[in-house]
Amino acid sequence: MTFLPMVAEWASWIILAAALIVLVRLVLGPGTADRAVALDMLNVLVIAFAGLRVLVTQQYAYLDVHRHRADLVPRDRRAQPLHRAAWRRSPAMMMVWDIVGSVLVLAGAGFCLIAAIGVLRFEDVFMRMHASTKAGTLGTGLIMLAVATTVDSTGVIARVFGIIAFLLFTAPIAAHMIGRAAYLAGATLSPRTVCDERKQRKPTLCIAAE
Amino acid sequence: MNIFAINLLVAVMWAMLSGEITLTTLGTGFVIGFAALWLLQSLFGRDAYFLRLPRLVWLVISFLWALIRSSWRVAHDVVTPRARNNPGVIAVPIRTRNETETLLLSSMISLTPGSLTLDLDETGETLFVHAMFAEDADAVRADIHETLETPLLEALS
Repeated sequence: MTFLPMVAEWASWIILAAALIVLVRLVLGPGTADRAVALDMLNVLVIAFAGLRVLVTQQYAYLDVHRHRADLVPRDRRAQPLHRAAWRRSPAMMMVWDIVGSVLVLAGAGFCLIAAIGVLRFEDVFMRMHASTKAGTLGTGLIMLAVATTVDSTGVIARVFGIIAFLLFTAPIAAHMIGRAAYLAGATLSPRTVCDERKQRKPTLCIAAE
Repeated sequence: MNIFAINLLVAVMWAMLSGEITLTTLGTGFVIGFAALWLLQSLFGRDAYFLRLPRLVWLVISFLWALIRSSWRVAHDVVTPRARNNPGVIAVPIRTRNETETLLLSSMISLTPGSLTLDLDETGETLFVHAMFAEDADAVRADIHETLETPLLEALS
């Protein structure tokens, strides 16, 4: 008896809530850069959601981009339910892996939700990006790690690490492009900002507003 | 990188001898191969490989630690009602030797929540980083220098 699919189901709802919050930011704007940040974050949440579907349905077809619409694939051609190695099938080991997976899944979903709240709550586009990078790297990374630890199949683990690697390669470049464009276009900085050393063209001491 | 090839060969042989080629057996084979080659070090003479691999592992650990620590800080600021952030754009002098290192360093800075690479100056010697907690600019500079830049430069040297 395994309770990981149930925990993954709860986590899916948390991710859905996060997506709704980000959607509010997407509608509110106010700038193009803010909308780009919201879209980028929605994209990452979709990946996290796909990872959770693997744990809920025990079918790794969700990890394949070309099989994303699993409903269109004839049933007999769908991926077989995942097998576990014999030593992992003992009840005690199943329990341990379930607990490890559940902790990772809940922590990942929690970070995604906190990031979404940050995207909605923070004042300027750069602060919102600080919040959204957390969902990309830690939140989705933890959920993918949960998939890797609970599924004992080399193909799945290799795919999971591929997904994490692509996230790590693409996320900073997107963040850099959005951030630089927003800065050069003169995005308004939060009133809490203490200093801007690029404007001053030389390192100076930042002094806290308080 | 000759010794790296031997190490990979040992890993593949280990996996084949244990009857199944999976990530676990390949990983075990690689670790055992590294240990065996490390014991035979004097045969190859001083090779940078034995220094580089531990440094690469250290870079990954250092980066993960920075990731967890800063994520926690940002998450704390999101969920508590009182805002503690003092954002600012900070000039960080960097010592990278080529463009690849600069790219890797700026990507790692962007990946850690709470810091975001905005721009590189014309000479390529200063990164402009938007930091979420910029009360003390020197502390931010020192933090990037210690946890990300130094391990990166050592791993790639």
